[in-house]
Amino acid sequence: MGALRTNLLVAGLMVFFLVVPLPQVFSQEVTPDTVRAWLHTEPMATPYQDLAPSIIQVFEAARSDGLPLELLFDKLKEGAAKKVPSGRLKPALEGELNRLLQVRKVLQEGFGKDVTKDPFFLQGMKVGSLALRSGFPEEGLRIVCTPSMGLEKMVSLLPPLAEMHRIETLPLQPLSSFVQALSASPIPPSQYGTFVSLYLKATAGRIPPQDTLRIMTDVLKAGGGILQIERELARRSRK
Amino acid sequence: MNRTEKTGRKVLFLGVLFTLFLSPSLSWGEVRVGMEGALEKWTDGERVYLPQGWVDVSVSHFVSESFSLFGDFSAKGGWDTGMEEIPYDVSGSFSGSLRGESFFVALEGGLRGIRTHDTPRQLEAYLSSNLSYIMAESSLFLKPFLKTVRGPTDSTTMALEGGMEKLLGEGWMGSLSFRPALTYYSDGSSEVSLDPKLTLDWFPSVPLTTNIRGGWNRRFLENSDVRGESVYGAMEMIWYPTSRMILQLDTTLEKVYRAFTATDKGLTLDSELELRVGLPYWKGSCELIFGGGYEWRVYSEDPSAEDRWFVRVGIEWRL
Repeated sequence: MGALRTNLLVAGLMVFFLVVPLPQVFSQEVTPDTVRAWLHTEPMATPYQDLAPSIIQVFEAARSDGLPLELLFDKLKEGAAKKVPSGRLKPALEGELNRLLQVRKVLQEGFGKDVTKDPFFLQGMKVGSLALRSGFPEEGLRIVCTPSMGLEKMVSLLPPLAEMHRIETLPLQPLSSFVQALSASPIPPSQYGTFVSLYLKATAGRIPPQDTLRIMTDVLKAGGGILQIERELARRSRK
Repeated sequence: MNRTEKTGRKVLFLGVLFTLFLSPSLSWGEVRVGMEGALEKWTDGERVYLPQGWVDVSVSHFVSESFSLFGDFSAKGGWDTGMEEIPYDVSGSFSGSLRGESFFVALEGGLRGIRTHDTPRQLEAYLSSNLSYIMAESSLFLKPFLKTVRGPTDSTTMALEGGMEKLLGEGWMGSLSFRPALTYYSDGSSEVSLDPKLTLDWFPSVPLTTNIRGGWNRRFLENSDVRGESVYGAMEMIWYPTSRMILQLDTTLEKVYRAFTATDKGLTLDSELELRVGLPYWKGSCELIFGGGYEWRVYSEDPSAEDRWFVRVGIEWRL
């Protein structure tokens, strides 16, 4: 049941971040003092009073690593709202901290050091962390973080890819070709989510994942769109 | 040799030729093996147990970005305690497709041998094609189809489906098609059917997809007598509710008439549900399959309805 709840939560958050631009979510800069004040005043945080110093330590560590604290603070509030046992809260925050460091490294390698100044940086960090948490491989994250894709498109593409990976493991080589073809296609990022249900239908139709990605890639390279991909996958599906 | 037999032999010959021509260039894609136990209740009230096993093989070869070849082979067999014989369903098909910026051409040929309690031993061969002209958000298609059946009643069917597909906003697709078909039977009789159809697909950003289709079908004999007429609506849904689980539901409701102007003949409801659950910690892929189906018919001449159902539990491995 725990795994089911986690999966549903991750899926829900991914859908949320697909439709809600993150700058609307994070409007105020978070500091360790903000967290300290929240821990002392927020009724939800009452069970974690004894942990307050070690929680602040995690936020101090994140700040010294140059990470924006908004995402970690979000994680703390999520844990408190879910009434996570105090023994599990700090490891969860440390896990999130490590994932965020991992994501920032990949983003900087893919888009350059200045990516932290990009208006979509926070959103990229959030969807990257959620993707890794749902089991999407770091190598897959690297494939999506390329200059030809761009951070804005990456933010729209990563949640659907992570969802597809949950349905059936995405093979990395065909994934790389698919991402390159998609980045060059005129399909708007608002339609990337459609690939989740297309991939689900292909999986239910017994098309091997490498063939599904190859068909999608070839259609995109030929100048086709969602309609052609769906029709070719439907034709390939086992009746 | 009558016209049906001649056409049937030609289709079988073309199918074998197509298979031999394409097979050397294909590479292994995926092999699945599985077994299941099914309990079925037939319309005559008899309950039978049906243990079966199967092997499915997919092969593919992407020759270039525009040309690809695919093949599917499937063999399923077991024991039917009702007919006390071995039921089987063995099939093989090959297809090739060519795509360009504004066109898509596909050719597919296949053979199928089948024997079940309601389909006595028969062999089918078919050739089908898909010719599409592709525009930015729509496409026009033409699907010629030829099929021959060798069994208790031999027949050859020729059909030509034409239509249009269109992207209807984000995640929605629709298609409108018309499929006239002509079937020759070995006793010299023939039948014409007309089948206009409307289809709507929904592909949202969540792991769920639905297909809703509806249409009308009219079949008449050489002398223009209407043999049967029906309107139908169907819905298919595929949902991935949580990790390693795929749920599929397919339901069809059909109202059958002798002719629209005459009395109605019957109503049919046919529904199937399948749940596939992937087993964790399994090297490769292994799924448990739970399925069930229910079919219900009522005729205007006979007020008592007849129904049939099945439940099945199986397991499938992907090698």
